[in-house]
Amino acid sequence: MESTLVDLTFLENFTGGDKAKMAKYINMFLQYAPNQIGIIEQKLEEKDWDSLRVAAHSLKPQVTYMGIKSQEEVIKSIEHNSADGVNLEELPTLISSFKEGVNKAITELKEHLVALS
Amino acid sequence: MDKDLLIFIVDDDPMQLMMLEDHLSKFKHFKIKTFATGEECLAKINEKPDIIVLDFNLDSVDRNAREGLDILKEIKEINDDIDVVMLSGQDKMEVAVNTMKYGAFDYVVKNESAFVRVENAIYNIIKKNHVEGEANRYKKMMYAFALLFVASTIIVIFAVYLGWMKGGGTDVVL
Repeated sequence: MESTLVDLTFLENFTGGDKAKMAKYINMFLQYAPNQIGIIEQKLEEKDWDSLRVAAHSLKPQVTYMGIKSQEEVIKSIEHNSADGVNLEELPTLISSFKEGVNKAITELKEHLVALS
Repeated sequence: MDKDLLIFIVDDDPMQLMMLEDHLSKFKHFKIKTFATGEECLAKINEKPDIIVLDFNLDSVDRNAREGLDILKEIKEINDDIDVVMLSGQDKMEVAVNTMKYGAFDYVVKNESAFVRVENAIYNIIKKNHVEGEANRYKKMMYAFALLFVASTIIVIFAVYLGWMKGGGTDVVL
């Protein structure tokens, strides 16, 4: 299938093309990411920058492993801004853009899951 | 490798934990145990792991969980022979330097190459321990030779002395 937001090259190499393992990791991401984004939004509302940083930090490697390249820099900026307390006014836009990007990637990942099964 | 290596992996990110476990389980001499917190790892430290792969940030799930650096210090206090490889999502020099200062063997940034880098760090630890083992064996051997030399010298001197005494204390020719 054709992907525009998700590049599964790393996951394919990592699993040696094992479809069951790829599906296992994709499923983990599908469960984990929406939950973490929910926490990020909640912490933004509470202006709890440290907890926001922690949530963004823990999601960052998973975005890389799922090959969502367009969102790698966005999540890094969210982590950096909340960690250093800089450009906090940009956070709502960054988080909204990240959520939109990841949600689109999730749709693609679900299609990949169907193709893998 | 003479024996299996017991490797603990500590990470509060379930996907990272599972991916690293899957990656390292490919090697038949590695026996892997995983923990979501440093506290759980410390509770099992009496199992004497050879290597611990430890995440730097361990409070994303439980905000009261102890951080990796704190756990590293305690591991080293308990048993300095356990080699620790630190994992972190932060690509910052100061973080790496801090972990090394407290005795970590290596520092690996969580990215696509992290799994191979952890594997390499483990093989570097194995090599280091092998070289140290060889050096210790050599030292022990040299010590044994030195003891033997001193003991034989004492015996020879004593024998010569006895011979000299038997001969009335004179006319000893060495």
